[in-house]
Amino acid sequence: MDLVLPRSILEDIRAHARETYPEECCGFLIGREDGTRRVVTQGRRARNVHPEMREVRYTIDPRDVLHVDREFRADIRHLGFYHSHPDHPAQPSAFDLERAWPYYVYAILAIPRGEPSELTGWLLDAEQRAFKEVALTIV
Amino acid sequence: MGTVKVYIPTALRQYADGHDVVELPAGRVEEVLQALVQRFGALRRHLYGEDGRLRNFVNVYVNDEDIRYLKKEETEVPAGASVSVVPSIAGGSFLQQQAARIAPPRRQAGDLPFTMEEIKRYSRHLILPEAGIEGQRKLKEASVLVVGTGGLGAPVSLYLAAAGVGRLGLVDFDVVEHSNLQRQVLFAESDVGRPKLQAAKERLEGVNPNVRVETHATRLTSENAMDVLRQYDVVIDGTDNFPTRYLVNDACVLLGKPNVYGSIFRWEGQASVFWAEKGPCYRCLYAEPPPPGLVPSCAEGGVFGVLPGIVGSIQATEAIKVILGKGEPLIGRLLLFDAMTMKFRELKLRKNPDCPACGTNPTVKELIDYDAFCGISPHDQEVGMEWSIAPEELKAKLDRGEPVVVIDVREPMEYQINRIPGARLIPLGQLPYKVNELSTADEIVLHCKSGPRSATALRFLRELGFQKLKNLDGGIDAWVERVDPSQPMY
Ligand SMILES: [Zn+2]
Ligand SMILES: [Zn+2]
Repeated sequence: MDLVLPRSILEDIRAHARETYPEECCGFLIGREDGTRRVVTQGRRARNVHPEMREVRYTIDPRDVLHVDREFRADIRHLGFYHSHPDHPAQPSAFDLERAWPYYVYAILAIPRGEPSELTGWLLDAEQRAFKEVALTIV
Repeated sequence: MGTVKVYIPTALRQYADGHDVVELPAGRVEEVLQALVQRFGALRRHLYGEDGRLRNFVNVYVNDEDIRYLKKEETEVPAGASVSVVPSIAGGSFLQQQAARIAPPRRQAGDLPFTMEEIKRYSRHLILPEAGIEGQRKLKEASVLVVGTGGLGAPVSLYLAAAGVGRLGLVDFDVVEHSNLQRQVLFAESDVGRPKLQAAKERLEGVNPNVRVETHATRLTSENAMDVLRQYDVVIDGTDNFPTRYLVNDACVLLGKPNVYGSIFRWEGQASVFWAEKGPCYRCLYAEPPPPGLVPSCAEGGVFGVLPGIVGSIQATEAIKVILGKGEPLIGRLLLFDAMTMKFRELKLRKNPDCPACGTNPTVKELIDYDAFCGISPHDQEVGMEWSIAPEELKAKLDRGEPVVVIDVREPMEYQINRIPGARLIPLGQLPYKVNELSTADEIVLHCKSGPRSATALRFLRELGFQKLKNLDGGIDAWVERVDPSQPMY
């Protein structure tokens, strides 16, 4: 599976991560399925409502999830999420894995010292309970 | 009673036959959700924990209200209302010390598409005229799918990873067994019992962390083959069975991909590059598979452990040549190798204009049922309950001194490792010539290693009029395991 991300959405994610640094930011990836590819057509910010340690944890307000899931269920659908790793590499953590759902693509943006760097995409292999990296194309 | 609508999130639709919304009878939340998982069994483990309670990480809404703030699962869902199953989304990063968290940025080597580390690693390629920086860049941008991580897949994937192929896909669903270690050099003793893909990924990333190893833990089927193969530039056939070999060939023809073929048996190997756009395909060579049971597999006939190292290395070489676009690939040539005489021979292959896959009027326009095509039907492996006997039952008969004729249809080498006392050895291939030595009046029990060969023998004898036949269920493997553990297994 390949993830296609327009540069403008990448820039929005980077800006979001800068704004919340040193806390994690989080949000939705919305778009369409195109064969083996997922093409993101829209990003949407979410609030990190984790009660504490937001430098290393995020929780998306469940009502935000409900609304995105309701709004985008046809051709344009809810494809996954993004979140930032302040001062950590763009590798999924054990906690990311623990809380991962099938199907969704999880994009992780590393933001060392407040300046966004690498973005990676991950997909849960539900059988093996492990993450698989997805190929990312910025267009 | 009216109905309610249950909304399924994209994450779970694959477990609900793709439905995004399902109508179910109105009732309490718990009744609605139970009806949901009853209809879609695969959903259950995503919604309910092992204790049978709704998982913590599942939020349920009735209309716009979280049931946690209503009467939880007792909440009534009136007709016309909606129930939304909403995944709880959380994550985070790591909890260690700040300083150690970011690896130092990788140093790019000037304008070159490599890091300093890669320049060192690939230096022997970079100074090789036919590869060079341009060739190494092609390898880095290339993707190769290795179907099967057995004897052939092991050397192929090791060499391709070491050579710096950017993306390496592996398809397999087996676990590592002791009997693999004699030739499958990807794996160590400590890997026995682990999924092959997990062990292979670790080993290959250890060889070269620049390579992205993608694992497909599945049996390649007509349903998934196109989607998997499509993602790669080159496909390596490292399979050990005919259905998968024809499947890989046909999918490659349909997708226009090169198929780097190899096969091994005992001391002999074959290799070629099947690429329908430039030459023949596997079906041009063998339009139809041999009858089932006629060609023994390596598990039945044995294989020289170094042989896959030689044939797999040839496949890796051909894959790299195809990626570099250099040299003369094995297109239209079948290379035959005999380790006993240490001789290579070459057969010219021609594209068959009548080839059902790549000919002028192809009949294969989509993937078919390859098990059926190869004459393997699900019940072929078995012979039916009335024709089989359990090891314990056979043991009891022998102990009682009943006149049972036990025929071992394995090969002599296998017979030397373990055997049922008093069993007579008639290898499957010799059965037609020795059949007149058997009597239809005798009660005959047939066995092989695990069952399929003796099932073939049983069907053969049955067609000749033998009636008092039994197939030993699970073969000598089951016999040793359940009746006589003092004997070795192989
Ligand atoms: Zn994370
Ligand atoms: Zn052909």
